Amino acid sequence: MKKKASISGLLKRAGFNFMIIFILFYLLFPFYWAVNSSLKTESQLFMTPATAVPRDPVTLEFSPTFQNYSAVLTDGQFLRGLANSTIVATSTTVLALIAGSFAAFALGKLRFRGRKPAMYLILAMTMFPQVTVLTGLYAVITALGLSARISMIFSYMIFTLPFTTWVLTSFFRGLPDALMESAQVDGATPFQTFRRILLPLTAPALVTTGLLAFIAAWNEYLFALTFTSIDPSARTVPVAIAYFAGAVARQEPFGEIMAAATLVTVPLVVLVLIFQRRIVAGLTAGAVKG
Amino acid sequence: MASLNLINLNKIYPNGVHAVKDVSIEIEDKEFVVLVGPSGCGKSTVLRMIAGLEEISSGELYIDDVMVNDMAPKDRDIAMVFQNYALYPHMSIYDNMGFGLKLRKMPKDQIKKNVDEAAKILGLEDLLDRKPKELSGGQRQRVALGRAIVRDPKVFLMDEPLSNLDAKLRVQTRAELSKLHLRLETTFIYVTHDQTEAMTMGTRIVVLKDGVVHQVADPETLYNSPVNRFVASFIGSPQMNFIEARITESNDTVSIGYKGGSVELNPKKAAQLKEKGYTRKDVVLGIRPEHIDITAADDSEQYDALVEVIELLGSDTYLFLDIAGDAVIARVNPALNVRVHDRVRVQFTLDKLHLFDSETEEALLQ
Repeated sequence: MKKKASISGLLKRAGFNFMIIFILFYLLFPFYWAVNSSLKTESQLFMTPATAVPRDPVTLEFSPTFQNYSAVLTDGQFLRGLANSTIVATSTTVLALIAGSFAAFALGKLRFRGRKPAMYLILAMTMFPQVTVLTGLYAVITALGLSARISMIFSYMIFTLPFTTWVLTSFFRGLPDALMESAQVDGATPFQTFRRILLPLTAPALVTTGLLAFIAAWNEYLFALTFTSIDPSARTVPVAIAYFAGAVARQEPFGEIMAAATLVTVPLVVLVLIFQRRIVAGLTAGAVKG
Repeated sequence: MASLNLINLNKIYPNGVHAVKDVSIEIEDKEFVVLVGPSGCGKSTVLRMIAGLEEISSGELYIDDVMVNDMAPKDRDIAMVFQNYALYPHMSIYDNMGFGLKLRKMPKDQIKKNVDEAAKILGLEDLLDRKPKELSGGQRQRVALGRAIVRDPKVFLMDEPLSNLDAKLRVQTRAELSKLHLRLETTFIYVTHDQTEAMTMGTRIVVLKDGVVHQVADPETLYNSPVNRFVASFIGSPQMNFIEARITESNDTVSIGYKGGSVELNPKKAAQLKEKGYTRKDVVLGIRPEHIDITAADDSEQYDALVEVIELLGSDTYLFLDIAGDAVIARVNPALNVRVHDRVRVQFTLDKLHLFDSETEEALLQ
């Protein structure tokens, strides 16, 4: 009887661990393969069967190469893309956080007519697929004569702003009303209450939503591809990578693409690691009334 | 330091709830006024209207003869202590207390002087660098008070500031608040649902129920001459006993008869009743537990009540009596030798008797 129970317990634990391993493999394998491929030369890439680590084609010894990385890091297109992406993603994030926290304060803490409709309108904006607004936006941008970078920053707000607003609204709503009232009695104007009392308390949520907005803007491809078609110097990293050309016609420089993709991920990983603690706090804090 | 005048204040919420009905109170300078009543009686709403956190639906509110109905809270020069203290979690205790002064653009050294002084009064000197979450409930409560004190406001508003403290600390803080009131010489308006807090601290008490003011009086008057049955039952613990009774008149005497017996009124009270036309009428007799005399019945045939439960409190003993079907609580000397199921004789202290109209519940005797 007892033995039976322990066997089923063992099976359960084994099953659970297998699930974890499977999920980890599912999530991490593409990244591992990108790193693996980025360390291979052209000839190593086309070895069959494909090797799990870069190996010499003849001796099969472990021989990684960094030539893809040096090629990418000396490529002006890629470096310019990196700079463009930084500018665009950072501006998008900052603007989305500023506008989003203003809106969230109003939606979460102030009473006014039309609050609910406003919330749903904001949510509805995220429902349109990017492709449907693309042509319209392109027409607007050409009509207004906006530069590619500016148009990317503003169009990225279409998906970052509703998201930051919604998450921050629930966070603001969770802050006790008494704090606001206390500040009011202490003599603070609504803006001072927002800036001095509520905003510092929403810092974890700001970091989390900001980071997610940054990632979304950093990885965005469709708008970037379209809006930079007239101005190649404004290409962001995803577009720049897609335009990588091989040494000869029709050659796809896989190694360099993979090296670039790996490099592009690094800033995101670094950001996540820096704000790690705050992110966990931010993701859960809005849910429970503080 | 300020006087306040509330004239026919009303609060009607958008959903139609009429939370405060025609509340009129005149509050003099340096008074400690306590608004007391059961939960949902509108006492907090009145306080929030004074603070400016709640709009006044109709009526007028004056602070120092200035109408403040449409004045923002920050311009009213009031300070408020909230039930859950509402300290700013991200600021140190020093910054919490100095926040209001900083907003008023007070010079830094002056802020420091005020905060240090308030901290000294409240015994918070060693905690000024800490964050609120590192403090105990009692300490946080004092910080909330300190935040109000440093501002030196015209009026102190307090919304159940003791309800989050444990019983022992509450008793202690009650005395401290009274001392603080004497020291600061400022008008205090205090909201609570606890009649003990009201009786111990208030120089004047406002009893509210369902948004209506029932009685405004000092603690002694409130205890001795409640204007109606609600006030009589709300003030005092254990609460006043109520017994259904009937006024009878024979020859020159007026007496109150109830199921378990009758009491004869003195001529003065009898005259009061006659004047109001209350003879041969059903009334409710009210008698406080401490105004009932109990003696052991020496003759088992001659008794008034049966002892059902005995509660020993050390300083007092409460007897739960059955007087011919009416449940009555009596507070007696612990030295009295009675046991459960004993038969006892009961005597009401006549001049402490209250009578209420059965329908309107108004008090009939003064």
